[in-house]
Amino acid sequence: MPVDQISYSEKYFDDLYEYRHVILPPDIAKLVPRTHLMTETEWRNLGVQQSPGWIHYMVHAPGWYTSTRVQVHFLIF
Amino acid sequence: KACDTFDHWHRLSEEIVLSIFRWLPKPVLVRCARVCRRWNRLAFDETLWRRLDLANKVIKTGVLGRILSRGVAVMRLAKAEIFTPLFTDLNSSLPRISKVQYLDLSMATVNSEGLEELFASCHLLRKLSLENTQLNTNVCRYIGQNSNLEVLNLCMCSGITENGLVPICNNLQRLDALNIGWTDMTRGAVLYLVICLPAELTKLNLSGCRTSLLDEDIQQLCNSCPHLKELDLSDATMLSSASVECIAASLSGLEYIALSRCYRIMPSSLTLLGNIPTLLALDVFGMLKESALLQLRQVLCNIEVNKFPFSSIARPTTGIRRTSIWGVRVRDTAI
Repeated sequence: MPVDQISYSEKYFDDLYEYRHVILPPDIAKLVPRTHLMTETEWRNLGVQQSPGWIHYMVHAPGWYTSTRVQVHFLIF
Repeated sequence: KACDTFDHWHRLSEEIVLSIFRWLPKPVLVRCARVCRRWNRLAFDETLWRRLDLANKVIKTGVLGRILSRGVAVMRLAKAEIFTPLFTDLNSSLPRISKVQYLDLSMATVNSEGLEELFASCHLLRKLSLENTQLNTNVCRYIGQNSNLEVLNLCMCSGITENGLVPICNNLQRLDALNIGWTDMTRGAVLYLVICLPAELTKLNLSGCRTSLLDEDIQQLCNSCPHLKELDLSDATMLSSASVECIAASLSGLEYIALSRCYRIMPSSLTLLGNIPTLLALDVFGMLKESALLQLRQVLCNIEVNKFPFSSIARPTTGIRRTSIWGVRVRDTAI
């Protein structure tokens, strides 16, 4: 899987929501803000492409200093 | 050996004790308050509780009520989990008034009843962020009580209705920056908003309206808020070049505009924005191919194109800042 591209996980579900995580390459990952969750405008500006309605609800960064791959989690109602 | 029972603390004046307590972290200060009645009065002195950073903390019932009664003015509760009810001290029959002026509740986990209780006591708010929280009409009504509110961040909030916008637009005449992007407002709410927004507004983020924002709304917006400096209308897919012409003609003081993914706007009309003398930056992500983008950059040579992927309108902690909210320090001096 090419490192410099955004990769999208399979969707997974619970009884309320649909989830997916998006793995960002390092150059985009370092742009992700830590002080607020991204609006749809903001994650689309970064280049993430998904159908409308996905909401950014979590950032999973395995150790900021070593994070080559940041996972941005999305959920849809 | 006869121990020296003389309490030297009594010889210290209150100001000295206060200046010592000023260096203690809040958890230690609260423990000192249990020592004796004098220390209790000094430990809960208003000067020690002006700034408070409770981000990412779990705040049990009644704790926030006690904190507010200690006179906190700058409080950060980003990503905190707040349990209701907030006020549990039964003996205080007097109306609860809090002195909070800067309040950051971005992404806090608190239900709208808790927010109602909190904002019922707030009248002196100057800057407020409620990003990603759940509101209802009552909360909006209470927010309208803060007549000298300057900055309001309601980005990605849910529960904003037309009735909720009435107190916000009418009572907050000193509002300077408003972020109300991605709140999926109905067509009626958007119509009401663009007509009744405070005239002195200089920064507005109205992104994410998709099909509920039309050209005539932009016309109305330019009339009701002529002094706009920063405007974000991204993801409004129904806007056309008519809006760009109207903006270029009437918003003469504009410095930043974002029109990302407004697919109906023809790229050729974007060059009209070049004749706004004060324009510094233009964001049109997701609309132009590489060649068209290069051409636009040549035409608008002294304007930054596609430089800011994130909006900083009305947001408390942006850029490299870590804990200060709107530039105001929240951490204790010692730590």
